[in-house]
Amino acid sequence: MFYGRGDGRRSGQGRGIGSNRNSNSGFGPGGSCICPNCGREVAHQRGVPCYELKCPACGSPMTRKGLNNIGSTGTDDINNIPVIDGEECIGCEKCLEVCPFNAIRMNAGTAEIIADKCRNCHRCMSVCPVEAIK
Amino acid sequence: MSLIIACATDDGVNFINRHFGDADYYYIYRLDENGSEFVKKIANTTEEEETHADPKKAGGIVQILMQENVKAGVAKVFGPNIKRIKKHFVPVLVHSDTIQEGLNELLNSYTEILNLWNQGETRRHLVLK
Ligand code: SF4
Ligand code: SF4
Ligand SMILES: [Zn+2]
Repeated sequence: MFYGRGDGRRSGQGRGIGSNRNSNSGFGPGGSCICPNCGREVAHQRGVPCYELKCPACGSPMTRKGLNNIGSTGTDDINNIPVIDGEECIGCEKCLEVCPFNAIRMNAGTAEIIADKCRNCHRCMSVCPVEAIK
Repeated sequence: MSLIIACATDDGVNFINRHFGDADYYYIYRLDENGSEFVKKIANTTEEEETHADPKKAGGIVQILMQENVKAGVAKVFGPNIKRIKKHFVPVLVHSDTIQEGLNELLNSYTEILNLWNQGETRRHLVLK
């Protein structure tokens, strides 16, 4: 039932590991479904798997908030979002293309993460050709 | 030892603001500790890049530049192709707009570039800031 998005994978970052387990976001009877594409959240409906819902904003299949890291950290875990090393970044904009939350901008040829938009999904890390995102 | 470098440019004066592989021309310079000397200009005859990180594209550019013994490719921006490019020469990111200023940046890092060249295909790129 886990709506598996293939990317963002890093060992130890999967479902139920790390901070997700102890945070109550997305778990329990309430919780919410989140769009992995645009970040839109809707209240979870009991008995309806999140992935059967289509995002009201962009039509992508929704996923349960709290799974696969998407939206799982919000601003609670803001200190753990990825950091771009400006000394390594080659300005290719690959990370910017894949970020589902428009949380990356270019600044003088170097990518930077906008902390309050980042949802810590780690997609940017998986595409950076020079491992500049840590 | 001198260092042959290729600058990504359209007009021979400024670096392009696009990826290294997207330049119309590569201006080839020979560098040593004392200064730089223009060698020649080479037209980029490889086809338009269809997608980023097109393997054929990297192959074409790399081959053209390897024939000139290029040891460093210089640009303001690289694309994901950098993974392949760096196997054959040192990708160097400059922040100057003009080739002339860029050459000065390179001269200041001459030894570092040479060291990266000597590391072979596992080398990393160099960002000059
Ligand atoms: S910046 Fe990276 S980790 Fe943050 S939301 Fe965008 S892709 Fe995900
Ligand atoms: S993918 Fe990596 S190198 Fe490319 S712009 Fe983003 S941080 Fe920089
Ligand atoms: Zn959506």
